[in-house]
Amino acid sequence: MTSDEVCEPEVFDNIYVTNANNLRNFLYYKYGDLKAAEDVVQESFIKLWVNCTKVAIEKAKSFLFTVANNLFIDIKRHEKIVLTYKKRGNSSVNKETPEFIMQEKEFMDKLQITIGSLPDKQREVFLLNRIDKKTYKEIAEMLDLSVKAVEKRMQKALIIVRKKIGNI
Amino acid sequence: MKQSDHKTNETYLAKWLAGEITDKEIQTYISEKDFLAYTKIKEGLEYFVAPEFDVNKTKKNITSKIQQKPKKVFQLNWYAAAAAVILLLTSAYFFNASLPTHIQTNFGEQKTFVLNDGSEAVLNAKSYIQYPKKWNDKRELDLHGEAFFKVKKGKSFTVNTNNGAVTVLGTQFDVNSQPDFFLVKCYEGKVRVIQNRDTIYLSKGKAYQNYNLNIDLWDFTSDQPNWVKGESDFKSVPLEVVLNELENQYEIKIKSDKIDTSQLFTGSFGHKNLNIALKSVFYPMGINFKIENKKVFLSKK
Repeated sequence: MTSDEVCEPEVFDNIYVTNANNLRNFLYYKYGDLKAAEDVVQESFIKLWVNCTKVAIEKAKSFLFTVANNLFIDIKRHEKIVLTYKKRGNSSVNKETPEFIMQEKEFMDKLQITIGSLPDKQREVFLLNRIDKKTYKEIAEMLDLSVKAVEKRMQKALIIVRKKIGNI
Repeated sequence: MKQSDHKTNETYLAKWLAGEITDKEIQTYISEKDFLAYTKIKEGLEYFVAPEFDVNKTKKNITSKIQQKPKKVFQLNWYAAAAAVILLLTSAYFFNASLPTHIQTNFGEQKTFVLNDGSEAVLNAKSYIQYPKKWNDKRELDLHGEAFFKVKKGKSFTVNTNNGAVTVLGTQFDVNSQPDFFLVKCYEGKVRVIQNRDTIYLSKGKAYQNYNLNIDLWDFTSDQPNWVKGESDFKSVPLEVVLNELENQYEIKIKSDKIDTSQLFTGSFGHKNLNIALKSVFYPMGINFKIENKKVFLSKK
């Protein structure tokens, strides 16, 4: 009933390239199941294609996120999320003592666990911002929230992380 | 002072993370100890990475699944039509024959014109017609959309559409050919409709309609289609077809994913005032509508 721009293979490809990774990460941050996240990304894009005549190009992104979210809710409740972190590069100037290295590792492990235990709504926003480097505005668009709501979630998440990590 | 700031700017940490508040400013909100802890958390977070994602592999899976699903007939028809037009144009060019005439109408537009045999045709909005410069033994033309014909007596006159063919000798009739929808109304004389190997004869005052293979035949009394006079009318047609006509007449987009577009509608709408037209279709159907710059959003009441 509307324009069928999204049905154009090039347009569709473009939407895929710009959104697939974001969508996968969002789903993973929220639900912690990597395999399911990738399956849902597939399903969401197929849904978009099937409905390509009904979805306007500027609505494609929010269509994808909404569909993906609904699909996931149908599948199951989420699992624990465990993100990996890269090793901190050894500084050539500063020689680090084994003790310092151990402390650092302890800190990073704590951070890892804490992130995983954040409430869903805060975690998805927090990780999209910190890892995927999405601005609050971009996240707000993706999740159909206000920027203010995103900021509040960020604020809360950071306070929780700080509390759980305790003294450093 | 600190207290009041806390209240006015409750998302100071979020703003600091985003770089909207400097390290110096943030220390007016929190203690130095907290500042150091938050800084360390911020730095530590930099080392976390998302798991690898093979974008191309997933794309391949999607592509293979998409190809298994046939595209909608609507699009196939369009491609086929486009291909046919291109083929016609190129072959005409190569044989150095004269190019066919084609006439097209835009949103809300109607065109009345005389064909080369003296027959008259009125083309409704968003429709397309094509016929050769000169007819030899048979009169034939291609139509997408809707048109009303007053045909001069003579050799057989055929209107070809994606849905089927309508053949007459000399008469007045209306043809509306949309994806999955085909309507022929005979206003004078006799009309032969050929669709999917079935042949139906319509005499004056008879109408034939086929929507997704649901065939309907009925009698009517008017002497020309209402759309020629600025009003589109429908009898037991799926809402989908009505929405399509609204879009064609008013150059709007209708978002209908929240409602059932297969329910049948009987009634009409005028071509002058969008708001009244929308009301006259959607009020009786129990559908709410909202207009936002050339887009109409539909929802259930």
